[in-house]
Amino acid sequence: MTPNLLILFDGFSNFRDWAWIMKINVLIISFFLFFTICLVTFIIGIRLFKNFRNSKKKKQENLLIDFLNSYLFDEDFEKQKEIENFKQNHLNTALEIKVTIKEILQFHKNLKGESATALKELFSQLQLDIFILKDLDKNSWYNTARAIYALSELTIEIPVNKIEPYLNDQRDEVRQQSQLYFLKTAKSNPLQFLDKTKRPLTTWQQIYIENALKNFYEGPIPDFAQWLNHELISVVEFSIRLISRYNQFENIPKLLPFLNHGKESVKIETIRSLRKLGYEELLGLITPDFEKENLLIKKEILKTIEQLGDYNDLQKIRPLIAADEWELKIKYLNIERFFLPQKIEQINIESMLERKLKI
Amino acid sequence: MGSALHQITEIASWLFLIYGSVICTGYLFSAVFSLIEIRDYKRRNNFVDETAMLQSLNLPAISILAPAYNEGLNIVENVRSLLTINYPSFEIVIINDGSKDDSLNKLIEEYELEKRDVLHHSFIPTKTIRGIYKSRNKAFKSLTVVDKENGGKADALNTGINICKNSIICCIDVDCILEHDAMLKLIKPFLNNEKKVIASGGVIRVANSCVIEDGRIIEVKLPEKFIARVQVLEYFRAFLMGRMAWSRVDGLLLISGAFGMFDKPTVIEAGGYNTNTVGEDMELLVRMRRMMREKNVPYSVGFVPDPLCWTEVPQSWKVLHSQRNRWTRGTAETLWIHKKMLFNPKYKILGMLSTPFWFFFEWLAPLIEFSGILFFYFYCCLTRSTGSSF
Repeated sequence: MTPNLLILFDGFSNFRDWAWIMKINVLIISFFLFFTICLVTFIIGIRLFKNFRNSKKKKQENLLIDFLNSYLFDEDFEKQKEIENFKQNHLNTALEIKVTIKEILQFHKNLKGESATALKELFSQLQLDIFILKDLDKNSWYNTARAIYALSELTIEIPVNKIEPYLNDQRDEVRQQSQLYFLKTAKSNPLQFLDKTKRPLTTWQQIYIENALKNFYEGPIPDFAQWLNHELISVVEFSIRLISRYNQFENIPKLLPFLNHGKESVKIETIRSLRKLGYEELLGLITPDFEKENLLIKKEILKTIEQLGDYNDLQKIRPLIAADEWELKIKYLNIERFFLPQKIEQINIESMLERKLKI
Repeated sequence: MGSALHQITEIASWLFLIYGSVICTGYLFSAVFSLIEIRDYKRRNNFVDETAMLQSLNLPAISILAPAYNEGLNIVENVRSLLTINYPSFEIVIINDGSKDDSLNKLIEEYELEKRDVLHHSFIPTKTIRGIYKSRNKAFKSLTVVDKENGGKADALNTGINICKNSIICCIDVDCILEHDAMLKLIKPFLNNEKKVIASGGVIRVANSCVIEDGRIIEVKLPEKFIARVQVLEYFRAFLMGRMAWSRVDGLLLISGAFGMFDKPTVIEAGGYNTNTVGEDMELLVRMRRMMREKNVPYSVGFVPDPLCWTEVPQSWKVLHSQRNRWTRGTAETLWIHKKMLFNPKYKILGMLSTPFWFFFEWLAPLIEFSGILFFYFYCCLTRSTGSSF
């Protein structure tokens, strides 16, 4: 310590006589020193705990790999006896149970047919479904979402009223997992849960559901028009999209009123859907109002002309594009190029002139 | 005289003490908030593997904008790495910002590029475009190279914004290494939100000394040089503690220029990147947020605490000095441009918390902390010379 500081301190015996700023400094230093020691001790503690936990986890995983392989593929394996043995000796702590569930789910993901069914049976023989159901009733969203995930992965059916409330849970993750549960366990009408849905579907959830519908559901495809009058706009948009994805041409008349829907996003989705369904009268319905529409709808109309119309339809739009609607102009010229590939050079020159004159 | 000096030192002591206490409390709070946010994120993602979503054709297309200036040494490899990004639908726009080296020729040669007349409009004014190139080879059909006059990074990005086709843009440094699912993770906030999301960013990690093969990180290693190691720690603190906490309270002011995703119509409406500041990344986000607030449109900014992008950090004091000089000037310029927001309740958390924090504890912190040390030293000297302990 420098002599300057010594004067300030004037020895620890005279603490009362110290300058107040030194007193506060010492207090703060002491606090942070204590805090740092606690923090470092805590970090070391959790590191040790995590290492210990990981080694137990690894041990259980290795044990499970052998056990599951023998259970599934070894004909001499005494199933009942070994299951009882495993249950008694290796399913005693929450960690052991969690690792076992995770490992079974992992195996289940990679297997199909008889092996997958056998794993499902093993799951209930080990009474892991009881643990999952307990988890489901816990108040933390994390446990609930994880439990529903396990149930849907293994398509374990439980009373509907146990999962239904979670369709409108506050947490996205819980809602998403419950939607997936209903979809994966459904024998028919996999999107029936939409009737009970009261919270808007995010785009992510819509993509997720559509993916699951394509990859996991094996029953008959439902008529998506049943949700066209749903109270949630997001569900209406979703069903409009699905109608075109699954080529439900019979629903075209039901889609037509949505071309006059008050909500822009619904209108856009309807134009897209009808376009994908190749509805030839669409242009006659949407081009007369071109001028009144907003930019996004105008863009959709131009796209529709590109796909369902011809050069004459496009030319009718030309005078309706305002001078400052550059995005539309570019789109228009690109479609013009598409219709008249032999005149690309001329179109380019025209567009350049237009740029020079108007910018 | 002695009494006046006494009073001055008393006031200064209190000011430094308050400043120190506030900054420590701020760090403590941000540590707690980020802890909660990271735990939440981990819980949300640790039992579901969403990489299967990468097979989906329903994900919106993204335009990846990468400005390049004198990157001739690695440009071909860097673009190849970008072309292998794992995402169903994307275009890559490389903007050659008037490089003086052979960057453009290398790209033309390697990717079989030819000049095309691509129709576009300058929604944001930029320097003159010399040419737009597309590949003859269909394998590189997602690649567009724009050659333009030199105008700086912001101008290059604005050019990319004008040229690109999709309404979600991802601005990255051309030499960045992306995680295989980086795009999916970064776009998720845009799709999984009931509010309009205007931007999202992720954690950037230090790639120095890491083993890299075919544009992918194979093994993570600690940098060999001390200066880079310190930055590893600093990046962790900045991203996992600072930005996570700000994200939790919806007060994020910066999405790193090295890797960020934006809603293109909002960027254009806000006027694009500011070419008059060196902190164009921070300035853009602040301007976008300010615009949304002034229009009274509910919006959100996403932040993903996963490492999504790896970058090389300076390994010499000289380069580090110039980088930090740029960052500090960028912060100061942004705060100056948006001084109206400071302590303005109209901007809610941005005005009452974020901008004051950045002003006092990010920009002024080095000055105030250094002054505090000097003050303490002179205080001790003064005490010695007067022989009193006040």
